[in-house]
Amino acid sequence: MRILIIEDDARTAEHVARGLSEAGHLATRAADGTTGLAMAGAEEFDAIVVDRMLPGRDGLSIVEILRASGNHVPVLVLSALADVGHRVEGLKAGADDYLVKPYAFSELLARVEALGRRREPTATETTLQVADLILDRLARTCARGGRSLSLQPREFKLLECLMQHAGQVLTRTMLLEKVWDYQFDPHTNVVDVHIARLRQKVDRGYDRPLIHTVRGSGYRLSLDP
Amino acid sequence: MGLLLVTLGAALGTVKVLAERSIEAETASTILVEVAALSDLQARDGLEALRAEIARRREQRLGGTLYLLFDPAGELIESNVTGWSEPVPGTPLWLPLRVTPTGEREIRARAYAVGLDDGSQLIVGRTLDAQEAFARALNRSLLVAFTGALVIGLAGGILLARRTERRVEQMSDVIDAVRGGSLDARLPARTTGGDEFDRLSARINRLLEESEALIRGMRQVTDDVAHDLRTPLQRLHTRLEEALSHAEGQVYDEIEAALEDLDRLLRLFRTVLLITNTESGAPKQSFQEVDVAAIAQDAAELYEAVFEERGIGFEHAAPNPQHRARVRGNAALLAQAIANLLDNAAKYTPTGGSVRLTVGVGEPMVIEVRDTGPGIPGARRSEVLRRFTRLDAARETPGHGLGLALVNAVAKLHGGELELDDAAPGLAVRLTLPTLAAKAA
Repeated sequence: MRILIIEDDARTAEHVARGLSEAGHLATRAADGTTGLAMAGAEEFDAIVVDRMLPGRDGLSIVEILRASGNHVPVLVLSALADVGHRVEGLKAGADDYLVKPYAFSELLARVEALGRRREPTATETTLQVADLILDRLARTCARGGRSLSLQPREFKLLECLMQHAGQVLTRTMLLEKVWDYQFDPHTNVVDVHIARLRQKVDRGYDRPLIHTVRGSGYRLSLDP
Repeated sequence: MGLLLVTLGAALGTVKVLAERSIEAETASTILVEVAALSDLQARDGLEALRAEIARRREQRLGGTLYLLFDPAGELIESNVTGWSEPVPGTPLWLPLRVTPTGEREIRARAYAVGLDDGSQLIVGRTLDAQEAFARALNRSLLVAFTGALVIGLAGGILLARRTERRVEQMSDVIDAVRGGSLDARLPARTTGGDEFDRLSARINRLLEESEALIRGMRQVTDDVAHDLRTPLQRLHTRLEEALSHAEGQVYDEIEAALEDLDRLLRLFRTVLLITNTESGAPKQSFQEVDVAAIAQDAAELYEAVFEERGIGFEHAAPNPQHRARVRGNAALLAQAIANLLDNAAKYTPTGGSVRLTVGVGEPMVIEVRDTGPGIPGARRSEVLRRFTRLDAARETPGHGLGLALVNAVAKLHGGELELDDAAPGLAVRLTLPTLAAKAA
């Protein structure tokens, strides 16, 4: 993916760029809002990572201008402001995701990669398929190897989310946000427990497991381990 | 009202008494002047001259003054009064009279009788009809004045009371608005020509000014701290992550442990900032009507699996869906508060125990989480609602003790309360929230 990083802290920007490159992406950097906006308008990117507080022009206004000019490039806003209202503001301005500083790079990477995929048609497909696992989003049914799986509504949503992002890492906080609509840090292993339940239904009794735990990050659904 | 009547009555009564007294004194002095003049005439020119003078006055029919003259033998020799022929004994003296000067109507009079030096007796009187007419007129005017004053006083009192009520209401509204997050709300206060309310309003405004500055300052500090600390913490995190990718063996383990510590610290940091932000009242600006029963339902669904995995019995007593469980609030914070309560219950309840979530729809709404864990000793219950408190017994379990402090801040933000109680055994945590209906009332 071609990713534009608009971040004024040189050190952070460098680490993020290096990390993205190591993960196989092409990262471009801009150190202030004005330059960032100009670059975002001039070149085609698969995703933009923008700091909310920037010299020159703040991150949210960049998103607003891009959206107003019909540019729908996925944007992840990074912010040092943790207020529950700030997140809503960010999403209202047209950002696709919002990550509060300080974050783990693995979280940033997972979120950027999830954003990039959003442009692919899977988001609107009525049927999702990974290997022999098929999920019908209209009929709300699911089957693996031709055998129907009986899922609770929330289990269905969890599996749907994992399949939409097949091959990508989804962190626990991302799953909490996307499946349960929660933004908080639980002290218990609440997401793991739900994944364990889902595994019982999706992977138990099959030769190749599809739901994989990614150490230090989260979960990934794919045929490859 | 009673006081008004008494005061008004007393004032007007005094006016009446004083007016009557002064008229009486006037009458008496008129009589005495007349008596003195006539006595002098008798002493100078004799009784006959006096008789002639009185006769002349009788002929002139000067109304209002009465004359009776008796000779030394006690015979009435001159008079303009009918129906009186005897001198009075024991002169000089004042006497009340009832006379019919024109033979028509009996009227009251007041007279002074004196014995003259030749043994004759002179009685001079004044009829009191003019005085009484004046008294009646005075009474009428006083009655009019009394009624008028009463009406004006009452109307004024009612207006004043209304005005006071309005001003007090205005003050309560502004104070509620400020508590509700509109920090810039102020009372109207005239600087010139103002009354005591304006002076009080001005003082309250100064107080609001100061609290606004304090609250804004606190928010600013929070934001600054957030920004100033987040960037270095961000760098530290990034560096450790980078180091981890190049490390091996024991170094890898050490760096990984350091990253875990840092993540815990960051979580603590986020929660403290969230508590500060919640306590500042800032989230009130995005308050909406939210369904607490639905929020509790979602949280129950999320945690039901955790309880099951840990071998803890879990029960969710949801309210009848017909009952409205709506409050004005912030859905994300309420969701986090309820999830925190369940998270704590899952953390502290041993396997084999049970947890019960109850949503009571009433006024106020009560969300209760009751567990069979170790509970919290009564003396320390208020402590755990403060930041950074965690009970010794729980120190081995992950968590920072900030969970309840955050729930407490969320409760306060919504005008509610957080109570901790002994569930014998275990802990009962009750979050009470005023409902929409109560706020509208």
